[in-house]
Amino acid sequence: MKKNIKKRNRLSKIYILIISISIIFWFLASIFMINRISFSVVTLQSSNLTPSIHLNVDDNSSFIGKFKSLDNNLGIIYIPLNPKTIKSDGVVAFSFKQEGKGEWEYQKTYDAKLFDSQSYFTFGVPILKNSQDKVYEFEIASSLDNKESLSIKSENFITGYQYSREDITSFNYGSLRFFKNKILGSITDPDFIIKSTIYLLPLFIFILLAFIINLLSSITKRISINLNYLRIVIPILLLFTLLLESNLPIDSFPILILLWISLIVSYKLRSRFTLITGFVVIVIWIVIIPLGFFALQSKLNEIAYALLFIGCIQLLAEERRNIEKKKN
Amino acid sequence: MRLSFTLNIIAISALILLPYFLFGGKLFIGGDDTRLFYAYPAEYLKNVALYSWINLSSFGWNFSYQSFVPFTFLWSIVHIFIPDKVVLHYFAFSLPFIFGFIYFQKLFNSLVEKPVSNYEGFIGSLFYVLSPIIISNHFLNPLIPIWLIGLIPAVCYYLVQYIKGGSYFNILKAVILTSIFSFGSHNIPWIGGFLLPVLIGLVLCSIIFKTRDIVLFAKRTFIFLVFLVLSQMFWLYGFMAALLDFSSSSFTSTVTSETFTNEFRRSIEATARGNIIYPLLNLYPRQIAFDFGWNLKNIYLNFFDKTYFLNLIYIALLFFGLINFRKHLEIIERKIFLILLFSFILSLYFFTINIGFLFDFYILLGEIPGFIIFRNPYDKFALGYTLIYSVLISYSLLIFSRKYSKSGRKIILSVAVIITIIINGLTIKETIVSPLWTTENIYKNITISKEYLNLMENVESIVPSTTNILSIPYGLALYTIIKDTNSNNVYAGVSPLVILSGINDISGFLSFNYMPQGDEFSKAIIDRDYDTINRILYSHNISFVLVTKNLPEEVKRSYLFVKEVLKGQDNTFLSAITDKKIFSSSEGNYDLYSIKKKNSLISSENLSFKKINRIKYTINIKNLKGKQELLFNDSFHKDWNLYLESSQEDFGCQPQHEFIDLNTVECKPEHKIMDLTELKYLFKSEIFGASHEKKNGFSNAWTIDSSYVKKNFDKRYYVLNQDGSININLVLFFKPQLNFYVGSLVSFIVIFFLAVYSFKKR
Repeated sequence: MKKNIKKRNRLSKIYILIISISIIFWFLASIFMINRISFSVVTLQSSNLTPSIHLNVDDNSSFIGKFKSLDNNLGIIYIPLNPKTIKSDGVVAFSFKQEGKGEWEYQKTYDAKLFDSQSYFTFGVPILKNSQDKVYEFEIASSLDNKESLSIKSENFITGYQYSREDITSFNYGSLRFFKNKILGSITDPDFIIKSTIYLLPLFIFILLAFIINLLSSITKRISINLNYLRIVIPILLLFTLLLESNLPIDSFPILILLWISLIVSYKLRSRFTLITGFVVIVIWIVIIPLGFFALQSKLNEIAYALLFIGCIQLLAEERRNIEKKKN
Repeated sequence: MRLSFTLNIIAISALILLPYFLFGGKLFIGGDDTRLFYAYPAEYLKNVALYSWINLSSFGWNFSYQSFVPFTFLWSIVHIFIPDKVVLHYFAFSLPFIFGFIYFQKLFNSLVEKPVSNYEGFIGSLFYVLSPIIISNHFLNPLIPIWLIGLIPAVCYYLVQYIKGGSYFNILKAVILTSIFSFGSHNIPWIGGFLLPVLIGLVLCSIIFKTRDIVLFAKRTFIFLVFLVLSQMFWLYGFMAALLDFSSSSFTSTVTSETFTNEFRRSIEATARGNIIYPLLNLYPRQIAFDFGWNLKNIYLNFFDKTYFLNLIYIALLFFGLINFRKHLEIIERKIFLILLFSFILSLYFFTINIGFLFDFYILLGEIPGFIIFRNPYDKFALGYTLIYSVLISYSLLIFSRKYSKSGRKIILSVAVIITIIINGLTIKETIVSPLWTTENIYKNITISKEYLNLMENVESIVPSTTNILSIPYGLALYTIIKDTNSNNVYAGVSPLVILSGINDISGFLSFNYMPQGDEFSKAIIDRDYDTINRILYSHNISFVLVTKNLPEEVKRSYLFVKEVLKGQDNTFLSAITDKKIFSSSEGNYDLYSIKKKNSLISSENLSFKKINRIKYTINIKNLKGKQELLFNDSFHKDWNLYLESSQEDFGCQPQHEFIDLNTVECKPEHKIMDLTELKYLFKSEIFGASHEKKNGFSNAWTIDSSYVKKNFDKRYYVLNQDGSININLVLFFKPQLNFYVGSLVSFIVIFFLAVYSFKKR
């Protein structure tokens, strides 16, 4: 008994350690390895940190933006675009000045093809050392015709502040400010948050191994192929059909996985059941190929893969249970 | 056993004879990774493989092509015994498949505790090398990764053997094989396409192994990999150095840039539109062939769309294995089966991508720096997927054999699977011997004409190796077109000029290494802006023009040429840039012209220079007074260094060409392949490095200062003239070449000690 408690305590400590390391990895990797900000000394701040940023559509092909700089060293303006195919020749002109000044202080033209299919575009300005709290204006105008004209995705855009290497490596107030702004800028950017989830993969794999497989391997009852089978399959198939035909705003794939896992847990289904269903789905699919039901095939694609994946997790869980059984 | 041996001999013979059936006695070369080295290994070794500075139909760039050294050296020896280039080429073509076929069986048998017969491995290996996925992806464009078909199973086999028995001999065998075919292991994205799902599979399945086994596995895998990696240092060191170079124009900064990340998303959105069903049927994704109008589309319409249901046998077999493996496999086999299964599921996802929200998840993965190498998963994961699937099919056959060991069902199933494999394999000729993309009648197997080979000899004797040739028609990639002797078939691939003659040419847009001058040059041709063209030709040291006149019209209309650029390359263009015709080939299909205004590769006042080889030039400057500029007209790279040498040694110049305008003399080159005394540059400091800068957006420039030399060096390093000026000797050297020397030394030491240790422990 004592031995078991000791073992469990040790295991808990290991679990806590692995989870902590995974979370630290997630945090650090997200901050330093998301491509948009990696290998640079740029700190990014999302525009929605301040209400004083406006981006107005002036006419079909010109946009005027106004914002208050949140920090010194302003150097980048990062605009979200609706991706469009741009094949024709043309230019996009970017003009920039401090509010109240008469003429544009900085202007640059870009080849319009650079904007082809881009969902973001980075406009650079000469680094403004003392930019904090000052209001700036910019204009983006393009010579493209209406068909290919640029359109800005949302009013929110990002401003970037280029700290010098000395600022960052000197470990003084400047470097603290850089890290603070970099972290703050990152965690308030929804796009960044989504992208950072890839670095949660180690944690996800650990949770899958430590908890889900353990949970599945505790399933012992085996279902016989009789009426019980039909009782489960018919509602599930009906649900599938609903999901297949519906235009739900959410992806049916994760719903399907969750449904199937809850089904396995509630009815204590074995891998054989999932795999045979998967095989049946594939056969149906192959049979309907000549009929050309493309939307249905696309859904069957997701269902078949989900069943195959879940079936394999179940196989692993069952194998683990077998090993543990033999141990005991 | 005897039947199994006979079947293997028949299969290997068929693989040897396959290219004769496919190409009808002509060479099948061309493409991005020209396979000219199969037929011309010595030329490739001499002109390309040995150096870290590459001019392969492009301006120079840093790359460790030294991974080709062992194979081209070995193949040059084989060439002595097989003098016929077609036979030599065909043998090299078949070799990766033969290796794949043999080592797959060895690998499978090593993964099985109690083999029932050899047929499971035999059928699995047929399934593997004749898979329509492999045929459509690797046979069709037999680029260098094709060698991984043999190399991956071979290395995996030796790894498994080492893990099982601990014998260092297995590491030695893997090291030797990997060294010979190191140019195959150079293709990291395809290796990654195999390793990524397997590694995740291993991690997931670690819960069914004892800690002791995991530790032993990790320890032996680590030892194995350390030896393998260290043995490859002769090319890997240079490769890693280039990879870890984060300077603005480096490979690494490019692949981690945001433009590349956007390219990743765009590429995935355009190509990942298939589904899992075709890969499960062991067929190449169907949708992509239709979206991009590949020849595979016709093969689907004419063949696979009518026969695909036969392949259901593979899926049925796979599911049979999944459902029955627990009963009919030994404990260790079950564990291996599960690892393979998870690797397979992940591999299926990576190969397909288009599976619900997993599609977006893959786009997210593109945010990981370096993941850009998997931007075309239909290619990078194809080999890994097929290999893993093949092992699973073999396992499923084994399970079937064990379940029905005493019935005739296993024979019926084996025969049915073999027939299905052969039926799928029937498309091989239609797939490989397909027309050049965007043409209908131009095929890619040719015999290089005597006229062209004679031309190469003449070019070698006429054109100095320090200059570049402009090949016309100038195209889209860095391709040259060579027409077949007696048909409209063509060689369309990386220009073979530098391989066959040692003289580099600029043949297309990509020859400019994505520099802005590439766009400028194409635009100038369209706009007939001859001043710009002549300026670029001069600044880029292009002194000759080679015109090919026998291009089939259909090729001119193909994807290889931009219509407007091609139209601009007419006689007016030619007379605007050239001064005279130097040479016409025997049948008049090729003309060589000289350019109006020629530049020198290296130039400065009172300078003489001598080419030693591609990475080293010796320079003598006389009457240096004050400061003057030294220009080196090849792509800028920060690691081109100048070293001050003793002025006591005789420079020994036999003038070959005098550039009067530039006050520069080019001496007769030495053609020294390599010189190990260059290792001294590891410890020697460069000179004038602070002044090294990019000139004209392309070249290297240094400011040479006589007072700096006089102040910092003793009189052994310069000769003082009466007017106070000095004479100096310099060496211009590309420092990353040292990575090859140091890496080779490491490889040699590792292989030597591994061999000694292995024999001692035997």
